[in-house]
Amino acid sequence: MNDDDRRLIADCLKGRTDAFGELVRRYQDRLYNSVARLLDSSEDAQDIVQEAFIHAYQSLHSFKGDSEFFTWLYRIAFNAAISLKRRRKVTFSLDQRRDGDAGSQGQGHGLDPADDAEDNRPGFALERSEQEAKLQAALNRLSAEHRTVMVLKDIDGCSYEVIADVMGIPVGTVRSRLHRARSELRDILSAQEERER
Amino acid sequence: MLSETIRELLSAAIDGELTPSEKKSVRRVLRESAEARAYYSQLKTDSGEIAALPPLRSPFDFSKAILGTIADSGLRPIPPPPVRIRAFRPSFDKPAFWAGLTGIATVLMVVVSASYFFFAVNLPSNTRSPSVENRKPSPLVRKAIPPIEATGSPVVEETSEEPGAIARADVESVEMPPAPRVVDRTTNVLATPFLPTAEPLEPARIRLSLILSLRDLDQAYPRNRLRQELTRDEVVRVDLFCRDLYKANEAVQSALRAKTHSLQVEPTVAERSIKKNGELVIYSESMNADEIFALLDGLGEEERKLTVSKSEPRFDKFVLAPSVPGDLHRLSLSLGMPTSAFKLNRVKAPLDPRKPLSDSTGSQIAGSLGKGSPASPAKAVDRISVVAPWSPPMANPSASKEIRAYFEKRGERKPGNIPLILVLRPIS
Repeated sequence: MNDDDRRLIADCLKGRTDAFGELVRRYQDRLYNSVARLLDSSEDAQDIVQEAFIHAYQSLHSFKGDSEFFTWLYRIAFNAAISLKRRRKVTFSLDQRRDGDAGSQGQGHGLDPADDAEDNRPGFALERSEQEAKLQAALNRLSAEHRTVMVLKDIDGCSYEVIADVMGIPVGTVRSRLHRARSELRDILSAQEERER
Repeated sequence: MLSETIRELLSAAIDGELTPSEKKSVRRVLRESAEARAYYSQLKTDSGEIAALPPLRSPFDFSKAILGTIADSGLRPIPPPPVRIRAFRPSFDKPAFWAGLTGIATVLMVVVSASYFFFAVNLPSNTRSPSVENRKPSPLVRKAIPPIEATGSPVVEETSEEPGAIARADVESVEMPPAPRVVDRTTNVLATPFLPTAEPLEPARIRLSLILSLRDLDQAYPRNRLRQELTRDEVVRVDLFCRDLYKANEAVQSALRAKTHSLQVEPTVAERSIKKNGELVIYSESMNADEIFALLDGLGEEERKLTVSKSEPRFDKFVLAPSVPGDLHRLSLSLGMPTSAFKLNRVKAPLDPRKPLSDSTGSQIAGSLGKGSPASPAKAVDRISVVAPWSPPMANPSASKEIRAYFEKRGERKPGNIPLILVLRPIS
């Protein structure tokens, strides 16, 4: 673990909460980016990031320092994000706007499943290019484990060891999961390209 | 057709996570197979495009909200649990205990015996045969005897009339061991209990939800309990069960309007309440505990009148549960605002002028200046509430004009006011 983080954590455990504020400012953007790409929801990402930092603050004594602080923080945030996704079983796209009348769609409860049929996909993206929207939609369609490993590797640039630490799996599993995730992503992108022709 | 193993190797090659032998294999495959080259190229392109996605920046500085939560809630890092040492209590009736004891005794015997024989064999011969006639000065003694002075005569005679003189010379040259440590013999270790001091037990204090009927609010006990509970949390959540969602919604809205509340009603609410589909929420930050009580009391009075006139009641029971953070999270789903947007009864920590401003301060100031002009800002309304779908929540509540108008017009929350989450839940 780098010395700055070590010093900040030590200060925090002595009662200086402003030291924890410094840790938050240091890692909030990076964590938010990864969680938002994982969940494709700004609001959920905000909640998860805040929960992760607060949980990390309360659990600081249990952080042994045998990994980077950010890896540990990532683990907390990703576990919370995966739990949220599994509870919801659907995703909200940052782009999607749907008719809010659940009655007409016959949905009794819960959240409507993502409908990425061509005529329902929005032609707008708030500040997104078409290419970005296409890639995000493809990411959204991956399974939770595949999406996590792709976000950690290709978006955040983590090594296999760090990914293994965050997800609690062996390095070999990271490698095979990444390979399957990329294959699946390629299939999704190919299908999208076929539809566009 | 490439095998899965090759494909996996090619995927790992993009990440630079190959062993030296795997690198050799990949180079060979890429050299020999056009399909492998095409696959590798495609993977690299896809991976590059994902990596090139622009980073999503957090919409605000989380540190303030998090430090605020830590300060207001009095959160602290949870200390590690104390290490509990189990007292050793020998079980004389168990064979395992005796087997262990026998093993330890055997090991000790072996060590003692081996030590005896080792030192017995290796000690110098004069210690083994104490006969004075055969005694020769040991090497240790000879070392202890100082060298012959320049005068030619030794300081100490090598042979002495007193056999003990050699031993005395030897003894005098030996360095004295340190004094033994002082042992506190007042404490009997064996009698001292080996258990750590037990911490005093604290009974768990669990708050139960308060379940009452609106019609019973004319009685002393329910009134007093309700008044008490309304002052205990920083957010009040009331789940009001109703027999007819449409009538219940109309009744609550009328009661709020009678108390001069301005209502922002999401358009889908009307249709949902007619179709009796789902649950609704009324959220307000414009009432204190007494006013919330008066609202519920007023509804109760209406219900009693309906009972007297033998009309169909609109409400059943209501539940006032202890507030949990999940309430605000759930509310944020319905209203499309982050939990930090709800004005709770928190005192913000004052700014420390010694600390530097955050990097985003400039852009925040520029943004706030930009929003306010050229149109004049929305005038804050003293008493305002919003009505929105609760379950299922809208897909994109932040796009609702009425919900946005509520947040624009609500103004600062007065001291003493408590955010109220009133959920109308039809009895299915």
